Amino acid sequence: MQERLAHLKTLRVDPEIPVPFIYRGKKYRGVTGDSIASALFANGIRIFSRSLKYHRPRGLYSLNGECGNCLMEVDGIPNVQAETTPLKFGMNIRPQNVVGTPDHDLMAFVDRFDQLMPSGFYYHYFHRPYKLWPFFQNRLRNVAGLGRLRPTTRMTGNYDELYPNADVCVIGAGPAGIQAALAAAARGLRVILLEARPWAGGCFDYRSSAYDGNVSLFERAQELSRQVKQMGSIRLFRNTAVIGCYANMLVTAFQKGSESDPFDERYVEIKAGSVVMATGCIERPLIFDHNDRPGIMQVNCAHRLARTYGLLPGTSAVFSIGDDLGLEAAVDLSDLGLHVPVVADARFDGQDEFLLQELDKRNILFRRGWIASKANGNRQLEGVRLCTIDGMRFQDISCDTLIASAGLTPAAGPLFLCQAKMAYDVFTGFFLPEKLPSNVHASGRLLALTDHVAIEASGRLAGLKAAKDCGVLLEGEIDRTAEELGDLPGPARGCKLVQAPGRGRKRFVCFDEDVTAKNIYQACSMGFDQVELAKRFSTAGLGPGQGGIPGHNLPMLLAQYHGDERHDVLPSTVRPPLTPTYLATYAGKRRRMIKQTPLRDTLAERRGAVFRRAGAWERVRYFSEDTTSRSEIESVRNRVGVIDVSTLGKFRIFGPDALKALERVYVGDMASVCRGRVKYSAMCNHDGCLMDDGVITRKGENDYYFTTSTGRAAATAEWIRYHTRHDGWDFSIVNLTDAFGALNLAGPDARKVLEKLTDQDLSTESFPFIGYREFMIHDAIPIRAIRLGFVGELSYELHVPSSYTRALWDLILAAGRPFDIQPFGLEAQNVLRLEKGHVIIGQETEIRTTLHDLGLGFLWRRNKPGAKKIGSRALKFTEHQAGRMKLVGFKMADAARPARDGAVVVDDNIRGYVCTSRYSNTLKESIGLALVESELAEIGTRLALFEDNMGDRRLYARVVPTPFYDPEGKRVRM
Amino acid sequence: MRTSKLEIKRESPIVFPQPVHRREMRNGWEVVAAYKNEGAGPFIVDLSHIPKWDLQGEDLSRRRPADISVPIHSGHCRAEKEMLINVVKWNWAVIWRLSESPADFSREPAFTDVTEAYALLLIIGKDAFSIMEKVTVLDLMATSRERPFLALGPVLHIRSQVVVMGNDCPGVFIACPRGYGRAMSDGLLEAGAEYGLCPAGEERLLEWWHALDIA
Repeated sequence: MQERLAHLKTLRVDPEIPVPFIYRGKKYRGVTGDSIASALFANGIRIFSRSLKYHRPRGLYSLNGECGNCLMEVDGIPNVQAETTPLKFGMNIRPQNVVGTPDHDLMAFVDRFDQLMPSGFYYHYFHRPYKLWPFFQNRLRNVAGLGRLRPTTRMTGNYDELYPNADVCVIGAGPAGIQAALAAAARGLRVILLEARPWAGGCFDYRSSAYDGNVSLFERAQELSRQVKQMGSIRLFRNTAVIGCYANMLVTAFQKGSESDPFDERYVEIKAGSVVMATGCIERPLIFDHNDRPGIMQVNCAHRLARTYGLLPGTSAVFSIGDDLGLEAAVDLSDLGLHVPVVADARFDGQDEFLLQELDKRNILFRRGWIASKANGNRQLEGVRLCTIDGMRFQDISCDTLIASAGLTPAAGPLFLCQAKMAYDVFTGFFLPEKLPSNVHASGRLLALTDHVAIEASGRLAGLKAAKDCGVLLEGEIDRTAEELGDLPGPARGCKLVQAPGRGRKRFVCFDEDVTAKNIYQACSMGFDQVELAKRFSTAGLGPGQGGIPGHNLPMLLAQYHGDERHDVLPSTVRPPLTPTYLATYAGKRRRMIKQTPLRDTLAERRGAVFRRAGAWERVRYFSEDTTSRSEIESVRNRVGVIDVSTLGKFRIFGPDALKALERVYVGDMASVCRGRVKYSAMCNHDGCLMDDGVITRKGENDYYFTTSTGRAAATAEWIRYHTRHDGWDFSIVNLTDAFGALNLAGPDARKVLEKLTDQDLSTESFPFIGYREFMIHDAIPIRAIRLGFVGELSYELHVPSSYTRALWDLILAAGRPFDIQPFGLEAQNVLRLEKGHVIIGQETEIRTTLHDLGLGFLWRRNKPGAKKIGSRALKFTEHQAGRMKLVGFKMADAARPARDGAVVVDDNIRGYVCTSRYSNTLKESIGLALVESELAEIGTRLALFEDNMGDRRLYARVVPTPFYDPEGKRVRM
Repeated sequence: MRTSKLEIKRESPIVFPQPVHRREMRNGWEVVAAYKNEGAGPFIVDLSHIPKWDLQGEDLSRRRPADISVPIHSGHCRAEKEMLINVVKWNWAVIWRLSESPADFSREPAFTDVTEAYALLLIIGKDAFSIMEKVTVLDLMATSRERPFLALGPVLHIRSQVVVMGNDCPGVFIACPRGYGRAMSDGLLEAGAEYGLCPAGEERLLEWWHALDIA
């Protein structure tokens, strides 16, 4: 294991506390604070994976998760970003995309055939003729892809959710972000500060150069972190990467849990009043021959590896850089013991003189206007060829590390996402915000500031502006801070270099997808010369790094191709997630938010009860393993049964204009609704299509109680309010769906059972069919009883305060025992009502089914134009419209074989479909309801039915009148 | 009619998996006064049994249920005489009666008894907001809103009424459709597990309520 630089004050690991883990089946040791990548690096692992297309060896490159080089399989989960995932005790880590070992990959030979794989090669080779594409597609997909997800994989762990609110949300806890947070919090605002790394401090955190006098940058970062901690109104979320940012001040992120956190990863959704972007910069990769070799890494990666994790990136390192951070790193790493033979700087001028002197003091050769043009070595870096920018002079140097960067590029993803108008700035070489959405502010290095004090001042200014967005009055303070910032050094000139001189085939623009500069030019030469086209055709930036590596170089290459930097450097589209994470994190807690009736527990205790989800509710489908529910049906037809129908919608509507509202939404004549009786009616939409049905009764002066179907209960109140919104009527609606449980006691013995529980006269004369009564059960339970006949038998629908439902259920079962009462479920109810020819909305209807199509036209009161009944106009039009679908009853030719629900009615064409079909044990034949074209609706018409996988065979049925059972309706009136 | 030996009890939609220390029968409800080992909080209390009324009408400001005036603005609440009056919108308020006071509005047409329509839970303790943050996007800690206040929105994706009370020891009432009561209580207990959220009896409510120093 590599020895750590344990004395550094910038360390974020504790070398004294080991963390064991397994890599490729072998035991290793990291230390507390390590990321997976740093732990592997400490143990001498240099090749982390093999690349997607060419199976080239890939190693540590950014330490920020900007590319797929360090995606690994951890504890069976593929594509875990090793650079940003904290090492945990006992982790089992495996390399990805490797056939053999990472050092000796059996697919590495593919790298030699790169010329056979130009940009968009699969369109050239495998789409001609196109019918061959599916064949090749399967094979290509078998060899492509990063990682393998086994079908049996189950995500373990705790994936939590959090929805905090804040006045100000600051993205990035670097110096600018912290200053913004402090400025806003000091004005009494609630601030949320998001940081992707496990600690705050940003670009100051690991650097030892001077901030001010004797204070180093990392000490300054520590001081700022202390201030954040002391400020109670700032909530710092560490390990939290932003995935989305939206113009309505919604910021989404995910947080990785440490070993002490109660979650493994959690989704965080923040609603703020104002957002400050302080995301800083990432490095722009340098493009040269074999720029992807293990041993080549970015400046920031090498510097943090040493300063944060105590690991020198190698023994001898050549630098090829494009900004002063590279010079600073060279000086610092040299001081830490890294041999630095030469620093090549792509810039001709503009370097910090102090840093040049420091290089000189350390005898580090500095080459102005030089650049790395080629990496030597096979599996790992063995040397580098440097050359002048004009490509005329060369120098080969042996080394095991090349620290390379073309300069910085802003991490502007969140700005793009929140629809800031971004434009290329020729001076800085950055995409900078031209116009920000309201309540969004940018600060710090994101704006190309490099001066430490200016970075902090810009953060402070952004924080004050955010506070102003939240209503804090501080105009003078904003002006003063802006003035202060204006006096400080502004944005620095950026390095424009795109790639080193040379024509090599292996200069990678996108590591994730193995896309080279040559591939980009190939795409351009085929006409895909705009950034969005080139990106898609070449696939550069479409990998898991989300465009981190090619994000800036791709537009610059295209501008170079066109020869017009000023007008042609256009950014590509950025979409969430900015940082990839697990789908499990998005899914969060898998809670079952299902409604339960008051009888849920009681029914669950019954043997054989099978629950199914029905819309928002959980309901009993069967009470036995017999899915035909024969016994339950027989019980209702011959004796008595009881079903839990608590899910029905129940409403009170009252007020002077309640009747008008009912007239508006119901197709029937609501004025005829009277006390002691219910009226069955239906609601249609403006197209005359059936939306809902139910019964209504009058309970008092301008006071009504009505029911709806289960599925429409949640929408009914809004439906009525919506359709009366312009009338200014005075009425109120109360949703009582959950307030009442409901039981349907049905069967020829239903009355006898109920009579045992109440003194109420239940005779037909006193309580007739479609009657409504209120009485007490056992002098304790208030009941609203309705005599209905949905299942075709004498029935009492008993509405009871929910808390009493179980008591009523128990009483009914006890009273019904002498009559062999049996509970029945939804399937039995379905067959019973089918026999009676009653429709269920959604089962016998669809979005285009009108009242007349169902044969329910008699419900419509056509002569009430003043009521402006919803659907009336359409019903007039569709009443006699030719070519409509009609609901018909049918009997199967084979009495023992019902059709499947959804079977298609056919001749030469599709002519309709079966809504419901079951074997009726009562009738001893198979019956059903179907929606068919009107010419097939004649009684006696023979229907041919087709089911899945039937081939040329057909089932046959004949259209018959409905109801199938008790057509005179005697049983419901008994 | 024959009498039955079956006991007629009213049942809450919520059942906490905690042994009961003390319970009492009230108006048919079996109310848990205290659970065993209730711990130090935060607490979750099932108040589904308390009387709840829905008040709708064109001019709520004229109404004085139990001689308490109804606030004018949406989202405002009035806590008085062990009652909470929460204004949902200009013509709609809900009333929760937290005690055994005899107030009964059943004869007034504008009132509807919705005791059974809602499951009502109360979370008490300084971590109440941290727990709520895990289950709702509602901003319950907004400094701009004077407590008590009513917020309407999803809790665990279920449309709910949320009332926030108390400053030093905050309490959050959550009223959701009764059918979701069990899922809601399970979800809240799970979300609160990391803070030690545990079920508590009605005595905790009274203790907390009286500490609020409400008239």
